[in-house]
Amino acid sequence: MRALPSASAWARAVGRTGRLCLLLVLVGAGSVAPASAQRFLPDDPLWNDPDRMDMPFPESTTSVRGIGPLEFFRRSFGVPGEYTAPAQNVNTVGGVPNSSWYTNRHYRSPLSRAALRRGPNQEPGPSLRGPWRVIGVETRGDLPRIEVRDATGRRFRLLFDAPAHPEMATGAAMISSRLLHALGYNVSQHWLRRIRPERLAPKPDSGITPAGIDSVLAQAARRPDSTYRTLVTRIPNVARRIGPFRFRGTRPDDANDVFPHEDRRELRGLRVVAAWIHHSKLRPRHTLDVGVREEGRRFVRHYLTDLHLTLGSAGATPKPQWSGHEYVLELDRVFERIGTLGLSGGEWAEDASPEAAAIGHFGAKRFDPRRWRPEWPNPAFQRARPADAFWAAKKVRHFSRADLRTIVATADYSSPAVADYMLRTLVARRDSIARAYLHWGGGLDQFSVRAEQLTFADLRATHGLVPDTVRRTVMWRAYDNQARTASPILVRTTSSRESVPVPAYSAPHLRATIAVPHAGSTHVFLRRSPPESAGPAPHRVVGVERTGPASPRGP
Amino acid sequence: MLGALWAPHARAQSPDRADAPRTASDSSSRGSAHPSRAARWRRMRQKKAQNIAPPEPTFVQRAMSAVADIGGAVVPHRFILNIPQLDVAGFHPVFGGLEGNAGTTAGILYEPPFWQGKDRLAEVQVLGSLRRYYGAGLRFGGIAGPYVGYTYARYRHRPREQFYGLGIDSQAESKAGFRLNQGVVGGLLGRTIGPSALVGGHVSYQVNRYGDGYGDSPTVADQFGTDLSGVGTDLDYLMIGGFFELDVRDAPYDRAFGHRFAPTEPRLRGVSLDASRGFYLATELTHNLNVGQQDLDFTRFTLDVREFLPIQEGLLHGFSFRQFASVTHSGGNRVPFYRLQSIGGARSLRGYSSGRFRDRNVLLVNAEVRCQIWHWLDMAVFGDAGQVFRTFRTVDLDDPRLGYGLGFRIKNDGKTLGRIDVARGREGWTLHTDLGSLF
Repeated sequence: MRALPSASAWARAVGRTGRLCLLLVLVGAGSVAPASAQRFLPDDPLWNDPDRMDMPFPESTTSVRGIGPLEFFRRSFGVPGEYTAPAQNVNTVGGVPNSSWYTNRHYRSPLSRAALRRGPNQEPGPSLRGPWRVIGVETRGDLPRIEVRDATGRRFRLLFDAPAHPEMATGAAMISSRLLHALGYNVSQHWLRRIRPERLAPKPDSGITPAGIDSVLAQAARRPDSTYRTLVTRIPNVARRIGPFRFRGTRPDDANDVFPHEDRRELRGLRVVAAWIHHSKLRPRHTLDVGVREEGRRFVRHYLTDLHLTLGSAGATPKPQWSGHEYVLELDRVFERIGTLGLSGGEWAEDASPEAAAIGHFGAKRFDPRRWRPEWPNPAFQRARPADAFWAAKKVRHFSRADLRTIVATADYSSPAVADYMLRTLVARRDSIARAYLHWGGGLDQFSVRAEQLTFADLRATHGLVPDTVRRTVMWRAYDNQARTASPILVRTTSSRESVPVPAYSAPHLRATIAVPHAGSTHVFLRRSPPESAGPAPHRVVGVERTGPASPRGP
Repeated sequence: MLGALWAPHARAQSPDRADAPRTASDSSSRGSAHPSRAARWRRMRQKKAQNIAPPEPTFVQRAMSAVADIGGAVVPHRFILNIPQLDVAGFHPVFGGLEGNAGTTAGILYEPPFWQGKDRLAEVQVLGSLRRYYGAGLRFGGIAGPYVGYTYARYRHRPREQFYGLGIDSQAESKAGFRLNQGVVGGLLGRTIGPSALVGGHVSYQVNRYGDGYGDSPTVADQFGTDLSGVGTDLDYLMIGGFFELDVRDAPYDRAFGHRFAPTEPRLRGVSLDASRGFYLATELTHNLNVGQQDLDFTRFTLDVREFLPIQEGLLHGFSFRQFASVTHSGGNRVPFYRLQSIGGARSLRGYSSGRFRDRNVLLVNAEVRCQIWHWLDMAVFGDAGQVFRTFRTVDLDDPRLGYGLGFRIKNDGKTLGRIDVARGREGWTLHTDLGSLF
C-alpha cells in the first residue's frame, strides 16, 4: 500500500495557479457572505426537519380516493425519463432528517436485539385483565378483523389469518413491522397474541352480538388447541384519523406538508424497501395519516399500514405470481401473450418459489430489485434516482443475519423450516439489493473527521461486493461556499485505506473528491469550525454528493 | 471578485449534479434572510399555513370513493353486486339471470342474512329485461352431512322466443316468434358419495303457457302450421328424474352452494368451476309426464362430460373439452317444440343465434385452448360442433354445424365474471356476450 503524502508533498503538488487561488480564497474567507447564497448553512447537515409545527389538523377523508383513470394511464404509460429531479427533503449529506414521516434508527445508531424485537411497540400490549370488549367486526374484505377495547379502555384492532393460510398474514405483518420500524418508517404497534373465543365479548349497546363475533371467528384460522392466533395493532396517540396519504403532491390542508411526496427521499427509497419485503400491494389505501398531539403541538404523522400484505401474503391468499414483476397493466406484454397464446410474455409464471401455507409466494430465486415493481404504478417509486436507491440500500444491507433472525423470530412460526426459509429469503433479497445499488458513488458512506483524518466506510468492501484493496483517488480542493465553486486541485493522492488526512489548509471549506474506479465518485465537503469552537476537530463534514459512472442507470 | 478568478476552472471540473442533494432551500430560498436551514424550512410551512385550503375531491375521486366498497360475485349467469348499504338488509342488485333472448337483464336479489353460508342457500329474486322479459324465483336449501337438498320455484315470461324449424337443415330465414310463460316448482335431494360423486333425484311441476310473441316475426303457427306439437296449447308437466354427477375438477376457489347445485336443467349445463385440470361427468334421466294428455309424455336422457388438460407452459393454461348429448324418447308420442332440446348461442354452439337448431336429440362438442393474457383477462381459441336430429337412423354425423372463433374472459380470483366470444359459423359472424364461463 502506498504511503500517504505528507503535508509538504501536498504543498509541492499544488501548482502556482492553485496557490494563488488558495491565497485568494483564504483572504476571501475573511469577508462575511450573506446566508442567502451559501450552499452550506450553519446548521447543516440538518437532522431534524421542523415539520411538527403546531398546525390545525386536516379534515378526515372518510374513504380511499382512487387515482382516477387518467392518472392511472399516465403512470402506466408515462415516459420515466421525464423524472430527473433529485429528492428535495434531504440534508446536505444526502440523509433524510427526522420528521413526521421518518426517523433515523438502525443504520445511524444500531438497535439492540431487544429493540429490534420490540420494534414499533412503545406501549404495553392489550391488557389480559378481563375480556376484550368488541366494538366492531368486519367480515368483508380479505381477512376477518375485529376492533376491541381492553380493560384499560384502549382500542386495538385484531386481524386473523385465513384458515387455508395460518400464520401467513400475521407472520408477514410482524416481520415487516420490525423491519420498517428499524429502517425508520412509522408503523403501527404490532403484537402477536393467542386468544380463546371467550376473551372476546360484545361491548354493551354496541350492536355487536356473540353470534356476530362467532361468525367472524368462523372465517379465521383456528389452532389445534382451539385458540386463535391474532395480530393486534394500535397506533399510539391518535387524536384524529385523517386518512391515507398519496405518493404525489402534498396535502393542501396540512401546512407542515411542503415537500411533494414524490420528491421525498424516504418515499422514493421505499421502492427498494418494498422490493425487499415484497410489498407489491403498496398504494395509498395501505397508508394512514393521523393527527397527533405532542408537547402541545398538533401535527400529522404518516404511517404505513396493512403490513399483512407484505412478504408472500396477499391477505387471505398468497400473492399472485405476477405480483412484483409487472404493473397491473402493461399492454406490450398483453399483446405478446395474445400473439403467442400465452407461451411468451409471462416468464414469472415459471417462478418455482415454494408456496408453503405460512409463507405464501415469496422467494429470492428470480428476484431482481431493479426490475421489481409494485402492482400499481407509484409516482414516488418512478422518480427514484440512484441516490435514493443507494440511501435505502445501505440501510437494508445494514441488517445482519443475526438481526434478521431476531426479527423473523417475532413471527413465531410454528415450523422452524418456515422461519429458516424466511430468514434465508430475506438475506438473499437483501444481498441482491446491495449488489444492485451499493455501487453508487463508489459505495462510500459514514464520513466523519477524526483527528484530522477524513474517515469513511466502503460499504461495498464491508459487505464483500469488492475486495478491500480497491485504490481510490482523492483530490482536495478549496470550496467557495458563496459561489458554490471549487478551486483547482490542491492535492491528489491514491489510497485503499478508509481514512485520508485532511490537508493542512485553513480554507473555510474543503472539498474532497474520492473517485472509485468504475463506480463513480463522492464529493465530501468539510467546514472549518471557527477557532473559538474548533475543539479537537477543526473540520467537520457538512456535505456529501455522489455521482455515478458515466451512464448511471435508474433503479 | 476573488472567487471569480478561479471559478471558470471550477465550473469546468464541476461534477454531474443530477443526484446532488437538493435541499429545499437551494430551490426556494435564494434571497431569503433566514440564516439556517431549519429556519428556512420552518418559514416554508408558515408561508403555506397562511394560504391553507382543504382539498376538494374531483368528480372522478368522488365517483371512485362511491364505488370503492362495492363488490360483486358471479354465480351461474348472474352478476350480483354487493353494495354495503344494501348488503346489511340482504338486498343486492343483480344482472343477468333470464334465459333465452332476454337481452340486458337486471333485478333485485334478496338473500336473508340468517340463512347464508357455504352450506346454506336462500334467495328470492325479481328480474326484468329491456326486451320485456321478466321473471321471479326463489331457492331455499342446505347441506346436512352427505345430503343436499333444496326447493325451488320459478316463473319466466319469455315473449320473444324464436323457432327456426326442426332439424339441422332449418333455415335462418324461416324464423318465427312465440311467447312462452313458464313456471316450475319442485325440489331436489342428493347424497354425496365420497368427495367427488353425487347421486339423487328431483321432482318438479312445470306449467307452460304458449302465445304469440312480440315483434315482427311471423307466428310459429303461420310459419310452420298448427299441426306442430305444442302450438296453441298450454301444457303442464310433472317431471321426475334422477341424476348422477362425478366431479374431479380442480377449482381455483371454494365452491359456494349455488355453484355446484343449480336447479334442474341448467344444473347439468350451466355450472362451471373455471377448472384447468380434471374431469367432470353428469348424467340425468327425467321423465316428463304430461298432465292431461298422455300422448305428450316423453323421457329425456342427458350426458355432459368435460375434460381439462393442463399444459401450464408460460401462461398457456391448457385444453378444455366438453361433450354433450341429449336423447329424448317419446315412444311415438309427440314432444312440444318448445320442450325440444336446442343448440345455438353463447352457451352451446357459438357462431349461431340462441336456440337456432332444435330437435329431439342433440350432440354437441366444444373445445377450447385457454391462456392468460392479463391478470384479469383470459383468452380462448375455440371450436364447436353440433348436430340435432329426430332419430339416430337419420343423423348425419358427417355434416355437423361448426362454429369457431376467439374469446376473452374477464376473471377475478380465478372466477370468470363475463366473456365475449367472436364466432364464425355457416351463417356468418356472431358476437356472444355472457356472464360466467361456458364450461
